[in-house]
Amino acid sequence: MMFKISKKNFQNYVDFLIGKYEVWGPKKIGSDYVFSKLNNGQEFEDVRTVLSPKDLIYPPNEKLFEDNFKEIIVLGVKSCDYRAFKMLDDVLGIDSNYSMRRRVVHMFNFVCTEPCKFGFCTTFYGPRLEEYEMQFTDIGDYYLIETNDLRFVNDLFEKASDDDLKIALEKSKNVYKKMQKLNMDKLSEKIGWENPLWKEFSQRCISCGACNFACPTCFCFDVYDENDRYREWDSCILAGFSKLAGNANPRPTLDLRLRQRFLHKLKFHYENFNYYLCTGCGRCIEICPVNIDIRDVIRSVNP
Amino acid sequence: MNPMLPLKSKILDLWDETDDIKSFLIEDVINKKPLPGQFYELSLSGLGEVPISFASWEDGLLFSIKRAGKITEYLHRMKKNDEIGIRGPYGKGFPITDKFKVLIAGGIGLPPARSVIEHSLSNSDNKIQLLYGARSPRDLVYKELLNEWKKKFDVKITVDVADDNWSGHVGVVTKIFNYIKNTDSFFYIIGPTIMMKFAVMELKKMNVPDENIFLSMERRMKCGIGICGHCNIGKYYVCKDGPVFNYSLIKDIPELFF
Amino acid sequence: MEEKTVCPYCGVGCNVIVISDRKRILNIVPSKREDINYGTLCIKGWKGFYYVQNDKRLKKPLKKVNDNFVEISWEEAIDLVVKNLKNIMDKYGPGALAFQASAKCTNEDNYLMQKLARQVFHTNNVDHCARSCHASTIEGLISTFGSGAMTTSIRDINNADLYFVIGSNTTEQHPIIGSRIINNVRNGKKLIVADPRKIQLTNFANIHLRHIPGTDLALLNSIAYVIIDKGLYDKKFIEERTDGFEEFKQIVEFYDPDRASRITGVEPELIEKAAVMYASSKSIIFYAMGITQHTQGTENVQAIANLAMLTGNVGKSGTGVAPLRGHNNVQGSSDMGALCDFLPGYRRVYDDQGRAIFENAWNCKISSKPGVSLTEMFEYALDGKIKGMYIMGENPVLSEPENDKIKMALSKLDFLVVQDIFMTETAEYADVILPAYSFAEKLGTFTNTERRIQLIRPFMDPPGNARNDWEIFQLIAGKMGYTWEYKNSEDIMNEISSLVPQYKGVNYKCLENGGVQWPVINCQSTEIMHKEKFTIGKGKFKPAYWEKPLEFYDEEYPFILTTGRIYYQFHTGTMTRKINILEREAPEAFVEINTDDAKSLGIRNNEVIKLISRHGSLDVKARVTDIVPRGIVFMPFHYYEASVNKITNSNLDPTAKIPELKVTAVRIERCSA
Repeated sequence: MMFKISKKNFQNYVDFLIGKYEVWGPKKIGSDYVFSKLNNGQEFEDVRTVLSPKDLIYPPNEKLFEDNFKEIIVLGVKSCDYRAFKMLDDVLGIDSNYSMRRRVVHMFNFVCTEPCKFGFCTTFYGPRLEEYEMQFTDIGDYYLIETNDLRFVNDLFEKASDDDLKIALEKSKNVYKKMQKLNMDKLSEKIGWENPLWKEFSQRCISCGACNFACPTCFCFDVYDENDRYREWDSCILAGFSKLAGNANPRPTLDLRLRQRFLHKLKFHYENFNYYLCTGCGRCIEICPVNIDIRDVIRSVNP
Repeated sequence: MNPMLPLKSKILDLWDETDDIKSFLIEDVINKKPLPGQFYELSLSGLGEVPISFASWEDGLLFSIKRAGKITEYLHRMKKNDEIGIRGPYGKGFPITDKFKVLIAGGIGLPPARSVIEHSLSNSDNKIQLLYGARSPRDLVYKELLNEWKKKFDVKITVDVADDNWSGHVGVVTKIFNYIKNTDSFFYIIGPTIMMKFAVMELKKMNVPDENIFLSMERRMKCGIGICGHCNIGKYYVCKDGPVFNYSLIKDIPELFF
Repeated sequence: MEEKTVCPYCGVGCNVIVISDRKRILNIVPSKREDINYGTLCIKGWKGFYYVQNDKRLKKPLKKVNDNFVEISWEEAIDLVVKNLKNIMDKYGPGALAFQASAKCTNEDNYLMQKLARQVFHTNNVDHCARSCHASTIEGLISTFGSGAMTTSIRDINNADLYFVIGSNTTEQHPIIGSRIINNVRNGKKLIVADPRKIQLTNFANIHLRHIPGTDLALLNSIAYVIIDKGLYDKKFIEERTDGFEEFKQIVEFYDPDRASRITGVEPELIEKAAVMYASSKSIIFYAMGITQHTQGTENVQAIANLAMLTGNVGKSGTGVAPLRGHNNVQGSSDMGALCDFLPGYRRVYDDQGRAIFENAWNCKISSKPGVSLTEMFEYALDGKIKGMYIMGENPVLSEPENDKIKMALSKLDFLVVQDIFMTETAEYADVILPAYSFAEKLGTFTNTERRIQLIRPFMDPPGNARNDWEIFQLIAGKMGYTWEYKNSEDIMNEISSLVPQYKGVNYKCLENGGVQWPVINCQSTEIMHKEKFTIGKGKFKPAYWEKPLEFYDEEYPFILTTGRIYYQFHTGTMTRKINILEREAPEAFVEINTDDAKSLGIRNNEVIKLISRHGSLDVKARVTDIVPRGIVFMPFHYYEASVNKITNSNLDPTAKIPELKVTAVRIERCSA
């Protein structure tokens, strides 16, 4: 179903949601945008955040046997980040905490109408999604709203026309026009275990793990005990990730660990699920302290 | 229910096998017959979990555990009737087959081999040969059982370093490969990565087809259910797709042996 | 909720936004602000905050009863502290008390601790860990430039054409500065690394000078020799802006590359090449403990300052001297006068004018005699001259040289108070333990390595009955009859900004948007210091001859042991060793030994070996590697299980009183042999 809401009314709509639910969205903190709890509609800005909202469904550090899951609404999710949850579902779907939160955390995706600096989403799914809870597109004075879920429909919504949809489609096409699309032709088959980039990257990688933590599709975690049992996001860039007792390690050097990260995204996961474990959000590129770029890996195979 | 929540169980009995290997009989509160080669996550609250292949399943679950890290260290200090968490069984085990099975076990690889042997014997299947290598005579586990097995099928044992009382074979396990009776067998290899590497090399020299070789792989594991990502070997998750792999599936993966 | 704050680890001072529900951290987000961490963090930033919610946090004051700690009320705790410290002061005089401040605590906390020591307990015996890290920087740079801090800014790194990194493993200890250097070098800038170890930066270095630990001064003097010899020095700058060039010239004349090569082990051609490269570029010199932790630490720092002045590489964009501070607030704690010889704002205690300012402001007498330094406090305690000690947020049992001596010293005290967030190896010796806030619960300021005063904001509820460090000092002062009336930490900053010239006019409002770099003028940053003239007026060349370290390799002890930190751990591990992933990555001590040395001694990788020095011995796992050259072994100091400071030497730089942790002569034995 299609609706639209005037930008003027949108704030009121956010306030309406806040009246009924806990609502999170991009919020300006100093000069940065982060997902945080919104106190009123004014705080919301449709801006790409430093990190994806992965943490709201899959926190960086949590009690493993949690049983308290709040219903929340997350506004301003970028389509790339939203799409990532579909991928995580295939792996983490059997995980209790993840699947519980997936049920009660509602993500409303906002379609980008301009390309972002590091993104290459048009290589994969692009800014408009086929599957969504509520998809918002900025069409000028209005947001076009596409949804099949009537729970969050409100009096402030107006009927949208096919012309509105046309504008929305036109807007997202703009992203396709301006963003370079990478050649993924048979990449999972062509990409080899050996690649001079692994060594080259390993010279400068400082093992911060940011590529993993910022990635909306990275799912690996570690489990540890304090007073309770916890789990936390892990990073395959770290030596301890694969270390066995007695310091034996299948991936003893950094180049092999970097290889694992890129092959997992571009080969292994494809072999298991028939899609690349990447949405082209560009966050790993932007957040890397030393400019390691997954696009270079793709281009090294398919120039 | 949370698949990572362990069930409360207890240690029914425990005893020393060697200086650094202890056997633990644990009440099987899960009450599901495991397949030979599968493993469980043993859980100590406040410390963590450790994945261990089971050795035997009858009056309880039997695990023989080598002291090798923080958690196994702690396990070795536990007592009869102490509480322990358990979840599993996990992974894919060794194939159940009518074919002749040559078990090649190194060190702490014997306990999982025992699960295969017991499964076969309980089905009146004696088409087994065991080649077992240990560091020294002191490091051999299940000494009495080995003697019993010798009555039922061929068992060859070798040690890296002999002592004065040892009159058997000396050397790595591949040194006793000349006793392999039937190269048209299934070969089940369980042991340290370096031993598996050389065992496979020798078997290939003997023209054993890749499809007849099965390896029990060891990787760091946390979840046991294929989601935490630690145990990746190429596209496979050792906890879910393994730990037992047909060699033909994984032979081209560069980080297979390390 | 969300709060902007600053990472509590190294001196880079990365800005982060923490999302929390005040009980647990929900997420950590790096700030994209360009001036510091440009949207990035190292692994300690991503993972290292979670210690604040650890269940082992101290929650109630404790007192020792028959070797056990029992919980007591704050009232009883403060009474006990005041009664005991006062008794000692009355009986033995103020000199029998000593205070150790903390580079992990805020400026406000440190300012009040030194005020407590000086105003309430009448002693200059207050010091902190800068003594063991950058005391020689303070002395070295004050005597040459007039100010003991980084002359330039982190952001200004982008404007330089060459980086000279000496005695700093930047990608491990200051990763976000290290990565900024790497990015610039990949964009065509040049890099010289002087370090005995093959550190990660050497992957990108145009020149790697692998000098023997303890020969830095000879190396630096020789670089100056070449620059003078080839006429590459900045005559105009030297003439207009400096004094003492002639004397400097005379002394470095001894260090022609051939001679320096015999001392340092670096080929003369490499020294020449490095000198020419440094002198012909807009250059910044980065250094850290590899320079400062020596008996000639002060001279080493001066030699760096000399080089910068010689080539005019200071006081303008893209140039400078950059001491990299190891703790988030070691700069600030020093600024606050948590030093036995300096009052706040680096006024020497024997400077009558400077002292008068504080005597007036605090309405008290301050001794003109420097107090006992951190490194000497424990000697004094052993000798029975110091009877009572108050340690805030520090763990000298692990961090100071000759651990066993420190332990003996602590057990000899009549009274020891430890104020911390966790039980530590040091706190075990305490009579009273006071539970404090961590950075996560505090409002206050940290000053980073580029002199940037930054606000930290609370994002967690404090555990149990823990209290803010400064509030505890106020309670003690009050009980001692001094009415301090700070309502909040900003009140303290207001006093600081009225008394400390570098912090003049600073208030929390002007720190709102990313902080300001001192010296602060009208709430504006000084990004580059010494622009028109040096703080001291004319820059002073301070030359010195290289002296062989008091311990060097010889027949009996043929190896040089050098110590340091590793990426995943921090200091004595009180914080990082409680973080699952950081501890997983680096769970145990090791000693790096060169492959050839290992071969000739028959040592295998991971084998436990014995390191023996004149001060003690320890067993540790060998890591056989080519990161270290032959004859040198390296060991991190984070681990209580194998504390390298059991065997390090405590020889001190006579000026800065910093111990020579970077050079200890050792021999190696196999345990099984």
